[in-house]
Amino acid sequence: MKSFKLESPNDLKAHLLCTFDLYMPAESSNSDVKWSEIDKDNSIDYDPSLSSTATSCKSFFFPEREDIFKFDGKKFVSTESDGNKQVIFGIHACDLTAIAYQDKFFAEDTYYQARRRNTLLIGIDCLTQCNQGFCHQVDSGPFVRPSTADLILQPLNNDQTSWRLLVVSEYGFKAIQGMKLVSEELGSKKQDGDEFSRQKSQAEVVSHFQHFPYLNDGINKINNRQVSQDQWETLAKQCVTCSGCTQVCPTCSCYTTRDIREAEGPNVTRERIWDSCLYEGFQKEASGHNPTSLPGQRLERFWYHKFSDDFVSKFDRYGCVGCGRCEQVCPGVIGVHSIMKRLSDHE
Amino acid sequence: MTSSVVSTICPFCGVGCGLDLKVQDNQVIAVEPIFHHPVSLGQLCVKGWNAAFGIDPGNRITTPLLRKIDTFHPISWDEALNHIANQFTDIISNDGPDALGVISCARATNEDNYAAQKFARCVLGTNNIDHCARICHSPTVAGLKQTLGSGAMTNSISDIDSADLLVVFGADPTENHTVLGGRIIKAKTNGAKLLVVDPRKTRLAELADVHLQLNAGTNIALINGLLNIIFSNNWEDTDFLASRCENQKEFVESLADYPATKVAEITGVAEELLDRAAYLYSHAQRAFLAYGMGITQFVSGTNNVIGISNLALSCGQIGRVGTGINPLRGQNNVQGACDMGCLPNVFPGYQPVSEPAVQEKFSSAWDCTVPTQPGLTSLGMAKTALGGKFKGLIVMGEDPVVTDPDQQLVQRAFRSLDLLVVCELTMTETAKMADIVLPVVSFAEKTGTFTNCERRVQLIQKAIPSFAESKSDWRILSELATRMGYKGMGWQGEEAIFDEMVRLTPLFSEMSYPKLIEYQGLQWPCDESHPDGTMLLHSTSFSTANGKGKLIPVRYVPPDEQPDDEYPLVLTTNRLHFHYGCGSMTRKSPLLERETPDGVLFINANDGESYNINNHEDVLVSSRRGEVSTRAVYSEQVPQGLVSMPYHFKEAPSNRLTNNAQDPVTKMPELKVCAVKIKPIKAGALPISEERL
Repeated sequence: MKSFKLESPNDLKAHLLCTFDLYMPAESSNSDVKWSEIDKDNSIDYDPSLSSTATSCKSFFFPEREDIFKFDGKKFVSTESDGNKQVIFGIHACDLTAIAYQDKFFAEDTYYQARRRNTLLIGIDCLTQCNQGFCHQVDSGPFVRPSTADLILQPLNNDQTSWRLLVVSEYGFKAIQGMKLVSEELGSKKQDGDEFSRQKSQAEVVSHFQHFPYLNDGINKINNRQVSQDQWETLAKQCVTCSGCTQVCPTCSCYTTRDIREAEGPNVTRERIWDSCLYEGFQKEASGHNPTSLPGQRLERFWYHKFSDDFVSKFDRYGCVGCGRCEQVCPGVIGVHSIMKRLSDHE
Repeated sequence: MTSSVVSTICPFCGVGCGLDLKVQDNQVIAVEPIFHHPVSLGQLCVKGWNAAFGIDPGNRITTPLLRKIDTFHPISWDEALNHIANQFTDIISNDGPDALGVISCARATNEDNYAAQKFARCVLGTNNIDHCARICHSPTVAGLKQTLGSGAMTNSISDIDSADLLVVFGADPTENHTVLGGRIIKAKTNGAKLLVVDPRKTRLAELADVHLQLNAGTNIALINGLLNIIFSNNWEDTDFLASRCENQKEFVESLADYPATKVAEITGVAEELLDRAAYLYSHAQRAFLAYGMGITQFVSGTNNVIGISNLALSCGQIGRVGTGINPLRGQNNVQGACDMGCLPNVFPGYQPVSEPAVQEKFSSAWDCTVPTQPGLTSLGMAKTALGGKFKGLIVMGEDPVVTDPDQQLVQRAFRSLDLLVVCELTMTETAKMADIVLPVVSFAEKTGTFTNCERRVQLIQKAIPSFAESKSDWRILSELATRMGYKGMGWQGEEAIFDEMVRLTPLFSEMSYPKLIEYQGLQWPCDESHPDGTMLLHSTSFSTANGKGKLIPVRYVPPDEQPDDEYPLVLTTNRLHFHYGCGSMTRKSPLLERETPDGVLFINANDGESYNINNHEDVLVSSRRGEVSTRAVYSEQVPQGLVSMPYHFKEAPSNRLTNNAQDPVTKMPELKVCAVKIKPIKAGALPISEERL
């Protein structure tokens, strides 16, 4: 990792705008923070103090709806598209961890990879805990895990007026060519000297975070198979099947496909669309048989995917990155905090 | 991948959640919730999450269509509008203006609706204007008008958070008004008590502290029974009654007919539960009462609403934060369609059609002579059409062939019209019967306002261009008006319509588009004394002439059609979380369409067994009106003797079975109760109709 002194993240943004399409968090008219495409000519300043974006980066690489191929009656033509060179600027550690997770899941998916390989990821370390967030308890933040970003913006003081730019990848290093940056001596000559000082800073930040013991307790109960079917069915009474959790979860990746026929003519388009394992129809078979016909079974499956040790060998971590969005989006009051509290409280 | 986000309001139910539309290449490709929205707080129901599919181009109508015998032919807008204008003019001169009418749209904007009633009154010269509130909350408007002086939700959605008792009476808000239902779950989680009154064991009934699982259609007996217990125990709010209500003596006397034993017999609810419910409601600090079709859709609909009002007034559970009488208006803009005067007896703002001063005001403002006789309701128009005296109708964005009771009657009525014009997004069952179909823009293709159930007027924003040749509903009416010689509908745009409406409607007098943006919506009344809108109604006095709430005795009347030997089961109607109304939008989502078969009959497992019907087996359901084949689904929600059907599926139209016996005051049909018989359709049997192939 190389380290440079950075006057302001806006310097980096201005430089990148010359060669990339750029997306960064910006406040919308109703005060939500959304990923916004920034126009080179009318560029607003980057505000590092903005809270987490309402949505994760999932749809940049795995869109809600995507044409997979077209068939004209004779030939199948792939509709995979590369997309423009783009940079996503100012991603929080949790969402970067999720991108790395999705990278593994979609490793063989050429549609995902086509968009992914043209994307530069600029992370930013968080100094404060977000509403509902618990990245520190699932090892996904608040500081960006270096392997998950190309470049990292590290604020060096609480008012975010002094910055360090960390260059992690080749792609990141190429992207900053032409910028006038002052290289930093990274203190000790140890192999991972910079990592050590980052760990210390992060520990200091985390010491001010609220810790939620019921999360660890709930996770343990799930992994020790201490949650009964009855418990899941009781909790699932509150699941209205809105699908909100799977929509906002940065590591959810279930999808389905459908073929859209032209009204008259031979053309058929196959479309891939986001699905949700909470739907009763998700696993229902043509015969009518349904291995997860009970809502409690579907609820159990979702949380198993987010917190089971069984997935760690494949993904090197839990499915949950601690962003807390499911808690906000759930009308039934069974998002991650609410559910884990109930599991923890249950004798 | 250049995409932009446009903020708007969800087009489905009356909660009015904030919705961000993701737009790419002039198409809405996805939706996102709005976390800072005052009503939805970042949540959406499954319909909202699937909203993008609902307006997909796939089956959208692209041009005006003219029917020739059995097929539809594309024609130009000029041809279409000239045809309609000429025929309407002919009908007016041959049969009079009252041979025409307009069914407006509870899902179109306030601007579209204002234009619709102005068109009916100034261009056609009739008060024959109505919309689907007729079969939804018309008893609310009529009932609460008598008792409180005003028919709208008295409190706000956020009041749920401060109640210590939530009462859900004849409604299923976790399926329908999901985000509001979620708020109720949250309140329960935070310690509030929950009382549910419903013949079905709904999701909230399962979570409730007390569930009164009454026999369908026995609401008044139950309410009077609760009131009898309350007054017998001196649990009523004597101060509130003394200072803010009237007619208590006559009212309390009428309750003597409803002792607990008799009420338990009629309703099927144990006396002990009646006691508990009566105690809970009368002793709660703040009781928030929400109700829905389980109160309104009966021949006693208006009286059921009055009963609810009697209950709230007697216990002083109104006029304070966390309390109230809260009818859950169903559609995204049914409140607005009523507010805009798309009713045969009122102008915008509920100003009565029959009052000379009001007639003068609107005649002068609109530069025409407004008709003075109250007009026909939607069901009245159908009946009059069958009698040969009603000849032409415009239906805007509603599907009465699927959603109105007694489907065969509706179809016969529409067939008898000289001219049926339908403005629609897709070829619904009603559009298929039209002489002319006009393509209209979806909610994402226009700007305007919707008013949610808590009287909050919110702005929607145009996110994508008009699809193909579609136009806004108001613009179509404006162009028709010009062709028929009326110049008063030539607005430049939606804001001009809104501003005109505001000038004529005291309830809205301080509203404007910029203010709606600044405040994230404004709740009416928004006038000089409440320039920032009103969260709470009736806090010091009611809207009646003397400011007092009226207690009105109401008698229990059983449903029109009771089960008997021939038709032994009670059929009620319900909604699924996954579909909306006639399904014309939600059934375009493959995820929602996958959730249930295209027709469901919910039946208790024991009944299934006695009738030899297996779970998921085809079943024939018959009533005195018609028969439907659909699929049985065993459910614990319905007790023995009760079966339930949703009305979303045109292949299995529950309204072929429903009864159109009507509430005498509002003409509301009794959709919630009729008698049916069922029998299994075994494998190998032929389907009864083409649709079921």
